Amino acid sequence: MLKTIKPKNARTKRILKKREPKVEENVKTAIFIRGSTTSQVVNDALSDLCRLRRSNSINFTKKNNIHPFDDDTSLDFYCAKNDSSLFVIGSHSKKRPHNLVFGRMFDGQVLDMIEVGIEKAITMNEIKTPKCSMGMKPLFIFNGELFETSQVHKTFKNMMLDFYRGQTMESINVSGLEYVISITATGSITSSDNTVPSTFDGKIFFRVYTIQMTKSGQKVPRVELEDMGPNYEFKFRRTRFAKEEVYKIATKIPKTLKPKKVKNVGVNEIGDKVGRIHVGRQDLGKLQTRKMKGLKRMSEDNDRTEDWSRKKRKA
Amino acid sequence: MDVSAQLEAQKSQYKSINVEKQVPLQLDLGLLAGFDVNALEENKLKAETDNYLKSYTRDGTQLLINEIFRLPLTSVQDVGVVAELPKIITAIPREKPLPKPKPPTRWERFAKLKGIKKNTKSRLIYDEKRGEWVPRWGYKGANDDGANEWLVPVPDNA
Repeated sequence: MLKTIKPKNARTKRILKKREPKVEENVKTAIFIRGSTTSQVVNDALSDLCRLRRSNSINFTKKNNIHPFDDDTSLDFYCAKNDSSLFVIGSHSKKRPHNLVFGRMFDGQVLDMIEVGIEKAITMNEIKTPKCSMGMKPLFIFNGELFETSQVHKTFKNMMLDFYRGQTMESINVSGLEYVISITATGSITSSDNTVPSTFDGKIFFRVYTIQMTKSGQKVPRVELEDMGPNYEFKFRRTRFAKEEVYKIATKIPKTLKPKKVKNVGVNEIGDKVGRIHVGRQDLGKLQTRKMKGLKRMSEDNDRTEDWSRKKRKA
Repeated sequence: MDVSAQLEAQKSQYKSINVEKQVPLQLDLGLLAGFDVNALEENKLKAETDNYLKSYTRDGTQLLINEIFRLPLTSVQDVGVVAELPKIITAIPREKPLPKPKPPTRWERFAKLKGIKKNTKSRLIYDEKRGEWVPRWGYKGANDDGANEWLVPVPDNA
């Protein structure tokens, strides 16, 4: 287990501060580990997936005796040591050939894991096309209705989005949209229980393309795709889903980040922005209005008018 | 002058950017993601997997890019066209739990009790004499007590 370090100088203090929980989190770090036995396919897959995620990913070069579904402790240790919350473990055995386990951590514990088997793989180096500059944010396309219905697929979709989304940005340079990750799900769930994919004959096609924007005569360009790789065909094996309560805590949005409700301002049917002002009670008798001198009632004026009338009578 | 014919000719030179889908894509523009629930053609998928996937994805990406160009765009200097992204819709779990509010320090408790508020003076103040914002102290500041006056009356005791 990791000891809690007490900072002895400013540098370690800064590092610890970077690692502590924050309202708006850092970009997640991912670790790519090799199991006790790996095949060439698995090694290439691990290095390609690491490349796609250029920064914030650590590729372990040595083999480790690690079995994610049986024992969590070594995994917790690696993730805590490297301050990472995403991991991919590659292994190869007769029972599970070309195996990859994608997983996430929350609060130092494993949140969820999905094991996939690689059926077909084409590495980035095999596809001789220009690659995009690394570190860009990718576009995502998920094809197939299974990503809305099946729990395995929904979790996998969430995981892929988490793995490759990059830094959260408020605005993006349109010319920086260079590549797209496309994940297609085929097949159907034959068992009624959504969580068990054992009798499920489908595949997951993982493709990555570079985007070329060409003229279209209008403001929006025409999109053309070019194969970039890596290309995989996955099949789901074992899964471990997150516990409900833990997932709820993990997806909680802090109050400061929730959108604020603006009171008393709304949009009417025409589309004008309308606001309401609440004025207190007004005593109409004590309202201050403009002064009009001519309308003033003066006692002198009355006398004057009387004199006139008297004068007239006299004369 | 009717230019519609010429416009049509111009348009037909280029490929279309419109894509027809049975069920429209669900989008999460904060993540630049599109979710397509339309059924795929199984036989095409088995026969020519790569080409079919490429064209299918191209359609989806075209729709995504169309939506991105509908966001508020601004032209930033040296960078180009920048689109403002909305907030992320999909719930993605955090890596660490939310930070707990730290207990107030000894000074903070005392200040709260006594009602002491931090009063930071700003670096710049408005100098009435010069009619502009100058530093409170330092180079070209406001408190140089007449060192750079061009006309100084001789005092009586000199």
